[in-house]
Amino acid sequence: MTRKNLLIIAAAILAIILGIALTRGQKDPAAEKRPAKSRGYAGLLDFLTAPDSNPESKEVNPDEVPSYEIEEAKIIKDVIIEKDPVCSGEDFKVTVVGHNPNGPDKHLVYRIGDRMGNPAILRFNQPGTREFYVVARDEGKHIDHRVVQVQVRECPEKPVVVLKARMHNTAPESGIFEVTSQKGLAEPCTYEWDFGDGKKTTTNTGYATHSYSDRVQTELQSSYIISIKVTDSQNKSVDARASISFPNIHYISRLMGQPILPVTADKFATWSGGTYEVKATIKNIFESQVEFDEAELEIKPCDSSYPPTVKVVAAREIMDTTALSSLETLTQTMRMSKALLGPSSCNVLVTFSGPFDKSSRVTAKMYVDIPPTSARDIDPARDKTVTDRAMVDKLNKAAQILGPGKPITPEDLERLEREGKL
Amino acid sequence: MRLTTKVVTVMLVLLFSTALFAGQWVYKPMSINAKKGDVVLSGGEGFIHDMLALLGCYWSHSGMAVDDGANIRHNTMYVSEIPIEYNYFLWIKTTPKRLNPTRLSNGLPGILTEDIDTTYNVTKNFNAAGGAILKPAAANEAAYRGPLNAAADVMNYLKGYYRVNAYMNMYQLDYVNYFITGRGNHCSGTNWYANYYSGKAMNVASIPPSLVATCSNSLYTSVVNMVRDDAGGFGAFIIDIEGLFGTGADEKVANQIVNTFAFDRSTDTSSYWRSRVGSLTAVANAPDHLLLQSYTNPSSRNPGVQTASSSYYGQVDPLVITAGYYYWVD
Repeated sequence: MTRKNLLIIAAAILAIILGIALTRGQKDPAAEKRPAKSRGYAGLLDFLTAPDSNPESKEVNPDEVPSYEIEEAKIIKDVIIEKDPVCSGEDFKVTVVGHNPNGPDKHLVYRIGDRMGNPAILRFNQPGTREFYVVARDEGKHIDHRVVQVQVRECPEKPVVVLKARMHNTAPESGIFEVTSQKGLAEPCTYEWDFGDGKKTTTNTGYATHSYSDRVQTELQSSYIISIKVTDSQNKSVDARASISFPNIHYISRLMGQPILPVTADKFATWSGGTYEVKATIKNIFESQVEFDEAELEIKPCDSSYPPTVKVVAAREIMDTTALSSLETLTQTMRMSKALLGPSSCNVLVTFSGPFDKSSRVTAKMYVDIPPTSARDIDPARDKTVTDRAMVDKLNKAAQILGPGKPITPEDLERLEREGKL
Repeated sequence: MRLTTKVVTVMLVLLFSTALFAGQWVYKPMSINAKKGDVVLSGGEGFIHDMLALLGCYWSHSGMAVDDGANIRHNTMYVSEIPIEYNYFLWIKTTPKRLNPTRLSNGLPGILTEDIDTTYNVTKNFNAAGGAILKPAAANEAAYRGPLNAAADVMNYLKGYYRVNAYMNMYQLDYVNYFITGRGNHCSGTNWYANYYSGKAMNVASIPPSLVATCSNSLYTSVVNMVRDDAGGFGAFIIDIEGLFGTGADEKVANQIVNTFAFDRSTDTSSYWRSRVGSLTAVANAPDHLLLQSYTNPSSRNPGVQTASSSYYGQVDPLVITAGYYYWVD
């Protein structure tokens, strides 16, 4: 091999190595302990796609980042276990008695085992001495832990129903409750639910959802114990419980100086006599009277490539009653004229606002969808035409049941399927 | 032309014209009430969520809106997809040994963008219930939206692994858009870096050694309980890992996770952490700690951890999901 060939091969190998270094950043974990600047040339081509800024000069110097210390505090006074020992799979209630040394007790947030909230329902499947942690903290910096033990034993003859509670993935302020296991009961069963907020229902399946949106928010966190009584075909019944907890965001909004009132409203506006109408409920969760004097409308066009337009009108142009006394809940029909919204509008955010506690303003926000009615209002960037034949058939059938011209949500389809109508 | 041919032709024309003008079903995707640069907070259950719960945090996951309510970019890890390594005897697979150390230390998918339908309905990385949007206070909206848009652009650019060890040391995300083994962050740390690389260094929590020790013990207990009681934290992972119970391997996996959390020793299934964790100070942020700027409670204490100068986020709004729905147009 000539010297020239060797040089060409060496140059090619060098080029390959350089190329890998420029395009990939994989390296051994030990090498990562070095500062980013000294990590070879990985990322040298980033400037081609990086946003405008100068990250090289921004490498973090931890000593220059302002920090705050999380401090241990004596918050947990007692942990009360409903029963000990418990059977495997059996639920038991745990209640924490806490006191906030740095503020109000209602500003404490609790976690018991793997559940947020206080009290909480726990369950262990495997027998033995079982351990769980209780955590309590205040609004920010202070925290307390306690480790708790409970004896779990086998009870083979005992019928057990396992009820699980989880946060709803698509419905704010709601929970999903499901019986995931039932031993020692003969099908079919009836299920009597108590959602812990005074609301009850009966179903013939072990599945339910429930909204806690109209709860009173007087603390950082609201916790509920959900009970179910499962009765089988031979009239034998077994009880089970689960717990769920919600952060009180409206309450926190006031602590942050921007108070917001909860609003529940129809998802879709209805068209009636030249106006769009929406039935909405506003709950004044605060102890001060509220009077809305202004309504800001952020109107989003159906085509999302156009920016929203903002209009400000007097609140009374949209709502008949603008005042809510302390803790009052008010349901009324909100009206928006077509002239106000303009053509090809698909979504409106209405922010009602009014003076509050002399120095700030309280708001209530209502989101309204206006489904398009013509092909020109299809959003070319985001909307998707349904082409799957089976789905089209399903939607046609759902439209016959729900009524023509109405929008159909995936929840509608799920409900109709569960009811065996699709 | 014969009559039958004419009739068939007319019918075909009618059929096609009906098909052409019959209308169509269209799906309008879900969206949320976030603007570009807002932080989206979510609660939930599971292994990842338990890490933040160690600090008593209500919100256990966070991401950033990278446009006006259609997409969220966030950093997460699918624990159920970490491969399990097995012991072998004479080339025959026997008992489970540990989680794949590389995947445990460098979690996937890492930083990713998901549309609202996907993240709330399919992957369920975010929950609507208990959800919240962190945004500038109304008075600062005009001044802060530009910088927050810039933070969202940085977030869009950043790529990296989900790092369990970032709960101990948050300073491990580079300004790059490719994966680097041993580098990355957790969810809130990634949001912090998006703000940092666009010019805003938010306050960061320092957690003293005694508290780190408590958190490590709590994490260990939590993992053992999840494995033993099918508490749901591991998802499909539990199916495999349940076979570990009684073999002592559940405790090994718990050790491996705590060793990774505290020391990034993802290959180590021993109780290495127990005698050493009491000397560590952690530096990490949590979603809850973005709230309550300069807040003074009724007892005149100031438990808030951010200040008006350390954060753009001065207001919390309840999450609102505008329904995804099908509509018919002619």
